[in-house]
Amino acid sequence: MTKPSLDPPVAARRTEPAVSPTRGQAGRARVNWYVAAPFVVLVLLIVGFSIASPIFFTPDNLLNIMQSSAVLLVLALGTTVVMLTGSIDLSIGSVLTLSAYVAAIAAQSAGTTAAVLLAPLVGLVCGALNGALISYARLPSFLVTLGGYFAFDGLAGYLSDGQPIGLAYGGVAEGFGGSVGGVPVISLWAIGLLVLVVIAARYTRFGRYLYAVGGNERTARLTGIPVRRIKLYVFLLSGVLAGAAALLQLVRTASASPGMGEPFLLLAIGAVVMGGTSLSGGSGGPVHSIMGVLVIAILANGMVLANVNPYAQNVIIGVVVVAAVALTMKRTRDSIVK
Amino acid sequence: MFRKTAGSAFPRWSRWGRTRGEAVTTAPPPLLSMEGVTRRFGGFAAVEDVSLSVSKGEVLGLIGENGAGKSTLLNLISGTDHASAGTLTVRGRVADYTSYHEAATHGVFRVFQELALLPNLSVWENLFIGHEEHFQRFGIIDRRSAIIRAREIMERFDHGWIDVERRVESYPFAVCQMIELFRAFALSELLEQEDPIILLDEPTAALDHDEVEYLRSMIETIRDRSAIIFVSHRLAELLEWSDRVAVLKDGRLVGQGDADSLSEESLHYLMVGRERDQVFYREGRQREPGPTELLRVEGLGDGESFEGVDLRVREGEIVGIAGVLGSGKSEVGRAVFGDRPATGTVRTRGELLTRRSPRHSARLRVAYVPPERKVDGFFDTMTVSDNIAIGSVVARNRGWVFPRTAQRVARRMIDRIRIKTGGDTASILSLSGGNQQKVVFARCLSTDVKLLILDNPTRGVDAGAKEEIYDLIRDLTDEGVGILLVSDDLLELIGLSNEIVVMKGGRVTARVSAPTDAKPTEQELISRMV
Repeated sequence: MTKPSLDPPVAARRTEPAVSPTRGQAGRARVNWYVAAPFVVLVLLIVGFSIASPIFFTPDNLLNIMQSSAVLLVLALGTTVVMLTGSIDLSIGSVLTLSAYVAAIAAQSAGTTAAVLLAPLVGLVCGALNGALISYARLPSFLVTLGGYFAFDGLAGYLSDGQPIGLAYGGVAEGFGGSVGGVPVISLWAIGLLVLVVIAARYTRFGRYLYAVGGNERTARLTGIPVRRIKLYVFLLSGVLAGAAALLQLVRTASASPGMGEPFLLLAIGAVVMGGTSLSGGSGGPVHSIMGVLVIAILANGMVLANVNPYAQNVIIGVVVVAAVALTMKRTRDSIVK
Repeated sequence: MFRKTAGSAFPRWSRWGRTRGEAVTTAPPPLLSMEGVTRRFGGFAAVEDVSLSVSKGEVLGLIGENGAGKSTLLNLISGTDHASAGTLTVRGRVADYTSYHEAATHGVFRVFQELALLPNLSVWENLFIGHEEHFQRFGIIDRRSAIIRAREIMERFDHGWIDVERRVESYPFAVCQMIELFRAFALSELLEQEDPIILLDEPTAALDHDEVEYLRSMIETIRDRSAIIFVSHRLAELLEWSDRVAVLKDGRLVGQGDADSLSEESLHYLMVGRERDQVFYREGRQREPGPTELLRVEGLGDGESFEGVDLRVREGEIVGIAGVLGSGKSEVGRAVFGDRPATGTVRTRGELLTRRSPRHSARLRVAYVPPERKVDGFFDTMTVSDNIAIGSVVARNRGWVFPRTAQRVARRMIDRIRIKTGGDTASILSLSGGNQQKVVFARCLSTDVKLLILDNPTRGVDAGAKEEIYDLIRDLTDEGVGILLVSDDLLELIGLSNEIVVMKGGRVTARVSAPTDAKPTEQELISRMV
């Protein structure tokens, strides 16, 4: 294509000023602040807890934090991907419980490999159910996954009769337990999944489509993006990651127990939003969510070490989540984000 | 029909108006009159020096092309906009309303072109919205008496079958249009206005024959006690319904007269005839179409808004589709792109498309620029360069994306079509309308597009940016890209197109060829459009 030739009078008639540099820079500075804010919160927490407790800033405890944040991180990755498209998955906690039970039962009867494979597979099936109802029956994700929240948890209870199922030593526990060079194996798995999701979000077409669908579904459709398929994939991924998280949690606690996944749900959503992924979709990303996960993990760990009253701990987590979101959220849109 | 009220008719205007001491004894004074009314937006005058008046018992027809200033004029009367100069007088008092609410309180009611009802509320709530205080008792709305009142109104207008407690969204569009009309009457009654001024902004555009007839009979029953301004694109209807007709062109009143003495032809003549700037539309760069047929559409119809549409676009050709609002032209554009289900055959480069969707179209290098840029034109969460690059991500059809490469492609596109931006990572929301539209184009172009479907590509764009978009369109045709251009701007259609397909009521009524040396006039097109 040749460069468009502008007649001189046209150029002269251009009245609209180009975006002024000051405005552009102000915008950029603010973007940096949104990225930096969770980091600042994190540093403040680390400094604060280091002062409050001598044990906090020791290699052992830091590894402990890593291990305890592994499960939350994996769940947060799935939540991030779902939220980038502007949907939400409320069923991840229940999917975790169900997958953990299926894996624990399989570990008893069919062996280690079956357990390791079955957990993500159960997650995948749950995600497929969610995804199909959301993308092809066009039901709102909030509603469908709220249904999943009850149904998958109920199914897990049905399978287990409400009894915990322990994981025998050896087998799964051996493969995923322990540490490599001092780093817990489950943390390594979580980091591996993190790398995969980060690469997927940044360097694949699927990743770009996530942002497009979350940014404006209609424009995405008009651009030729298979919006429904992307939504299905997103829930599949969320399901698989919840299944993987189930495996990690199973190894950590050495048993599947009723409602084991439930506390993770709101923590994961909180971590993702705190990290800066918008609930309405289109902005943020998996890297952002690391910050949110770390803030929650450090807070939980540090408060125990600092001997904070357990009830006060919940109050503090609540306050920090809201404060962090208030600091990091981009309020560029006029409307209230629901 | 309207309840007589005791006491003086105009006591409450004394707060607002200065009395203009004009005592007209011979004829009844006009209910509404305006003198030298002007509305400027920057240097552009949307309405300029318009003087008009409407008396009680009179229907004034208002006509003009898109952008002639009809809606702006109604905005000025109904308080949704402010005149830059001139005076507006309602019932002998200077009217200077700051909101539609205030205008309605003073007996000026408007039926908006696009429905101004709240779909999630019930009919009665819509009828009295903003004026609930008339049913209030100790701050609580007396629902029962409001519902009874609403039912009375519906029954009086022979629409007793409308359930006033049902939500507005459960009724079809035409019924909603009627409800909106009833609202004007309901409010005038509620506010005890004996002689309302009613502004109807293209009320018939979406109505079928029977409904139009009903509307007509309704206007007949109320015309004696009200002053009506009626805007329509349908000339025959306008002439039949109105007592007088006023013609607007480029914001100016170019003629008015008794409806009896005017004909459709004379109205056409008054309405159009703007000077077309051949340089503005780059007419010198219009190309002879190449031999390859990029698009062939036969018998396209959706059983709703258009039927039996045939189209052909060749290499380097611009085919325009003209038509008034509701003619089905936008729907045809969307259906060709695959964004709207339709029957009929569509071939691109000879190949018959069996499955049509935006995704399939994108794969075949067909792109679409939607008319509502802000609603579905771009991703407002993304930067300028991401907005552009997503087009090539879709087109390349490969799993991997390299942000650096994508950004480089986007940057090249920004330079090529001269998008004025604070940087390629600036938010698209920081750009002006014209530059946002160029980003939408850039996204389409990053796919090595072969056929481009444009729906009002220069809507809401200033003149300078328009010219740049026209340049871009000409550049594309130089490369052999075919363009299907849907536009409300007739001059743009005439200036840009090689051929213009004229639509009316969902059907093609004419195909006018528009070579550089023999461009059709607006009149020629309009006579087939209305």
